[in-house]
Amino acid sequence: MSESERASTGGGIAGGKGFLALLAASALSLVIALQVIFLKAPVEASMGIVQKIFYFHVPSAYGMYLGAFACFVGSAGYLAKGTPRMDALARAGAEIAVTMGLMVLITGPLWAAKAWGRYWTWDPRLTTSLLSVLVYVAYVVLRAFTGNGDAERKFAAALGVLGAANLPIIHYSVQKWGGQHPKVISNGGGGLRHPDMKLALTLGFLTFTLLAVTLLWQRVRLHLAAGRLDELEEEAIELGLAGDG
Amino acid sequence: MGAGNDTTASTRAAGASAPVPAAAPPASSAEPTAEGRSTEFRAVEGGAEMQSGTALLTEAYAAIWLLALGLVLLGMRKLRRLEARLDGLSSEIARARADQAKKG
Repeated sequence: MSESERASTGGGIAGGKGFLALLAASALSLVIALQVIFLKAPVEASMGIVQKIFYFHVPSAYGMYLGAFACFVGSAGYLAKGTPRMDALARAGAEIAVTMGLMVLITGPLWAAKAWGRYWTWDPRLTTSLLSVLVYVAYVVLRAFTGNGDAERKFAAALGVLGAANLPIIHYSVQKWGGQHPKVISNGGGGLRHPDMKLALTLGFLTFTLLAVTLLWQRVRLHLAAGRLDELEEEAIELGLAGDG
Repeated sequence: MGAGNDTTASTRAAGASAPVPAAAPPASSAEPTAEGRSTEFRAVEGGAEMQSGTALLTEAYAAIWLLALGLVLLGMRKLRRLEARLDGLSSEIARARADQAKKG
């Protein structure tokens, strides 16, 4: 693959320097965050050690928002411009939203098992979060099992734009409809009462921002490379090179 | 262990040869009877008391990092495969074009 082709897929694929630097920064941030969360941040008075799930549960929800926002921007961009780069951004964003959403939906119930005595309840925030993850699962499944034509891309892009409508509903569901889900750091919450708790949460946000950007970069490059491969395969068929796998 | 020591101490204090329980329950009407014993076992409602916070925390962190690392590693592997295929196909196409140019 020529240098220009590498550039079109976002650099020298698996081992791009920028990507590796970002991956290293994510790993370093994770190690520091773990150190602060487990060794520095105090145990919460009423819930005990299980409350430490909070320092990654909330940032993973934020990571899901980042992925969903990328999906929205890519989808809207694809509907407006129709470029493969926008489509790759939308697809990568949906994948990040699903991954981070699964993290939220796994860590939340594990925390709830201790705090509420049950893994799941149909609380407004839990329900809207599940709904949002299902929207992005639908997007990913749609792209994986249908063709890669313009019609399929546009249909998925419409889903990516409409799927973003649920995000503010998740955010404001706690304020509008109540429910059991705590609201510690959002409007009306009491906040974190210890500076080391604040530091742990800040590091959690930093780690998940870096992780989301790293994953987004990698998935965009992967989809661009796959698109480029499709083009080359068509070119190879035209040149009579088909049939060699 | 503690109850045994108490029993020995109280026995010594009393100067008796036979061991006497230190805190023998007083005979009263509250003493459980055969009829009043439990006849069934019921689980704790909800089960929160049975969950270890440390175990739940460990499970949560393991799930997060398995998902994240899994996605990164699978993505890197898939990218390497795609890049190898792209390199091979690009060079094949370049060769085919060169052959066509020679012929035509």
